[in-house]
Amino acid sequence: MASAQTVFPDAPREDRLPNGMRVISLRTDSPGIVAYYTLVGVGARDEVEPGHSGYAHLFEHMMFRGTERHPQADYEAAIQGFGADNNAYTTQDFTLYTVTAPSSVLAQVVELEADRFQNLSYTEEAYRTETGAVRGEYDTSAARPSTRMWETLSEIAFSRHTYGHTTLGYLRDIDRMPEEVAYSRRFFQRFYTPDNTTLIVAGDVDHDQLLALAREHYGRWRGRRARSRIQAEPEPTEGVRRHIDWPAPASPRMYAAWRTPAFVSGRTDAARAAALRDTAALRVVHGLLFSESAPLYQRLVVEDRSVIELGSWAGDHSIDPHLFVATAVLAEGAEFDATLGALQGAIDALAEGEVDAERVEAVKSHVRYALLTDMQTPSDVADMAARYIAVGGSLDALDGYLAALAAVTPADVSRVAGELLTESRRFVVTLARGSAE
Amino acid sequence: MAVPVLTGLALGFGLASCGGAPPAPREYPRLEDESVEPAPETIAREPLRDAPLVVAQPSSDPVVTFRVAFEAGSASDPAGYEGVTRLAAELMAGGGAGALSYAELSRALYPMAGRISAHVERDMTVFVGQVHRDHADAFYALFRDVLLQPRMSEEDFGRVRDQQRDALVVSLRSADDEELGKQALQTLMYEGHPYAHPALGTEAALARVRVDDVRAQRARVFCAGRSIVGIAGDYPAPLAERLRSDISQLTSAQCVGRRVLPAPPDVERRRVLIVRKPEAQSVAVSMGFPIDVQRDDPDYPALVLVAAWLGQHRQFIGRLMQQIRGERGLNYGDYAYAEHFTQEGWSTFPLPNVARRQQHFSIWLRPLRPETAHFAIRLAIRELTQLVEGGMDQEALDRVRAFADRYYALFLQTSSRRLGFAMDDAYYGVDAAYLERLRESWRALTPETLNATMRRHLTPDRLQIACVASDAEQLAEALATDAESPITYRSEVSAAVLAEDRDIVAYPLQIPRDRIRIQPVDTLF
Repeated sequence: MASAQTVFPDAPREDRLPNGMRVISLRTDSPGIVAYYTLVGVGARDEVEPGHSGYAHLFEHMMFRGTERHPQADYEAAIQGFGADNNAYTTQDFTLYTVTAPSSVLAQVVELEADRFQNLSYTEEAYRTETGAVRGEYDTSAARPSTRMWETLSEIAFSRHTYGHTTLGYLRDIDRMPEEVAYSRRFFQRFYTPDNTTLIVAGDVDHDQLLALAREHYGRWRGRRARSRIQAEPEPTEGVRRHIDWPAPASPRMYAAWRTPAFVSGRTDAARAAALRDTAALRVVHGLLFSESAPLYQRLVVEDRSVIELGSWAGDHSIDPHLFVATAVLAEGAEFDATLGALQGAIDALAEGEVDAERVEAVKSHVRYALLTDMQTPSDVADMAARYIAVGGSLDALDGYLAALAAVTPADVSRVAGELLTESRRFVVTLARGSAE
Repeated sequence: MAVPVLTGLALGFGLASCGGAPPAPREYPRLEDESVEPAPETIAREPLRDAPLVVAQPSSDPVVTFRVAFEAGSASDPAGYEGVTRLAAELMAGGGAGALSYAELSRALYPMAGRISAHVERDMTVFVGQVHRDHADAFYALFRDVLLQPRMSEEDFGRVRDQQRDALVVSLRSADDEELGKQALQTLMYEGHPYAHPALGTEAALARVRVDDVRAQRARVFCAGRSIVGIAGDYPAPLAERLRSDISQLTSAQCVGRRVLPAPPDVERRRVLIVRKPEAQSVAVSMGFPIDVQRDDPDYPALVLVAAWLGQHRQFIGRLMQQIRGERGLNYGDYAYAEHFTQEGWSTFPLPNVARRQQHFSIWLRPLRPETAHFAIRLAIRELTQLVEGGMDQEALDRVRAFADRYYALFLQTSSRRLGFAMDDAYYGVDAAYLERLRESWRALTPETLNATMRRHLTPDRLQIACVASDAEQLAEALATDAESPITYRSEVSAAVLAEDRDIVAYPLQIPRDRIRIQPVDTLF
């Protein structure tokens, strides 16, 4: 059976500083390179105030603006001197700062990174300028139908929960950002706290040395994460469907999504194990229906060619109940209803017990080997660890998930298909070239 | 030595447009007819190699990587068959092979999470296979069949062609202005040259091409004599030799050597191509010019440093990034490249095995608000001009060298990438490994030698500029008249920036209207 020990080359080591910050090291055979990843438990999910979507992502930008001790130019000059690859990304649930650097400069990286997370300082001018870069990022993606489809799907699937907006935020909120410097400072104080931060270092790292450096540089950091008053989304009772008339040439395309439970939930061990089992069973459904080897895929894409591309979002786990998303780009002349009917029909067949046990085992094998082949660099390892810590609370979540996956039976698959992937829990967005925008 | 091959059957073209009847569709000879070469002119060709070049990199990495590269890409597409090389590669990687249909092949690969993909560039196609060592032998049997015995069936062809057409006509033209701008720059820089069209091909050619043409193209260009094969990771030892001997079998009477490339168009002055796309909300900008520097050129390492200083891809060290995004917040990023660059997936690193016989220097400005596009183009060209004229001083050289000396090591983090770079070294015929070669050259550079190299190759007067914009006429007019491009900020910027802006807003680009072309997006490719 797969376990974290077989996924990570070495057993992970973890400590917690007195201020609540976690320090995790994952040794890999990568001589001379470390991935220094800082996970902050804040995402679009935490953007609860109306009119203020997009701020978790904005901070992904602002964090590069420097401190009094290391102004932006100094910080960048130092990072560049290390030859580091320095970036960050934001999701609905978390923000991850990703530095990959030579292991010989670990001590300097700790000093620089600890400083910016504790002492970020920016002028109103710098803030306003950076909001322009955020607007530029929105423009970069705005020409893609997928951007509009995802925005729309989020809106129709979540009427109360903050998963109703995307991580970039609403355009109207992005356009208001320049006036909101005071709000931005409060946002930083609320979420950039030691108890909300996990340091994950993978590669050529000595845990004891890392821990000593972390104590020295992060030890005096104080603060408690503010609670986000996120409204629970009611269970759906009827599906919603929305169409987008796209003003430019576009193949007809569809997102079909079903409400799913959180990655892991429940207060007792038994409840948590049951929730993980549902998550793992849904992962198997992804493989059974939407991989290239799936009969449904072969029928729609290869045999009758009504669909040009068929896929699903398989690995995206979330803190709160979210969506199981299938995506289809249709051939010219193909009907949305027919494609949607084919997807739902294949799901319903699973619900009715038509589950090929041999293929269930194939999916389990695939997921395990895909995990192993996906982790080729220290960055891959740190990223994988960060995702499971962010949504599952700890590295044990990965262990638990892999154990749950190994235990999935055809009956589990039928159960989640029948209970969760139903028309009454379904949200559909279609897009095609149209006259009106 | 180049071997000229005389081709025939250039007859019949152009006759159809005589008289009042609507022109009949051009009748192209089929590629599968061995006696036929569709290009009308005499084609000079390079000789085939005697055997594949082989790079083996055994290691303890549990992920085993196979890379099989062919010196063939979209520049090998015969005229009228643009896109056929990519169709061939995609049909191989995404179709049935040997005894297995595509469905059966997919099912066989699935439990081992084995991956087979193809990437087609102008001058190179690479097939990449990856699998965990637990399944190396079983996977290799499938990978081998994809290369040696692809079925290339009519059914699989229809699907692959639909997908490629969608990628060209819908995704590229409509949904990805950044990539569209980059491809438009290629079309502009390489007008009338085999690099002009994208690997995806042209809409007209994709409508015409048949499965037999695709099979014929595979036989012509995916040959042992044009191959470089590589294997890396913890693979069973005999696999390296099996790979070599299997690929050696790819010989036939149809194999032809590479077409000798014509020189790129010799354009002395700036030109602009504006792709008119009514629905574009922002302006995508790419600019560049061909340079006569390849990886094996002694000047290459210096140009890599110059490009890094100006705009290392997605890093803040670049001057353009600092000026356009950092100081002014005008867009998301601004970069410069000393050779053709394709980003690998979501990483910030270049894809290996996209080697070319001819190269270009380029600058990429990510989408700009229409009201700031002219200003940003001026700013970028002014920066390049000042760099070339003023040169880099010792401090700038030291800083970018320290960065690059370490940063470029990150390009080589996985065994697959190390293998790809080593295969590129083999392709270019250099005897030292990529990174060592760069580092050694960089150590010896002085500001004087660096600046002299830069001035030999970088000529801002020759910049070819491609834009994607909705109001193409307005942009063309502004560029042609060198009208002032005033800039306002929503925030206060420094006095130094404002002072510089006063110069930039009227910086003359000197591109008269007759060197600015506007082309509707749906007529491109």
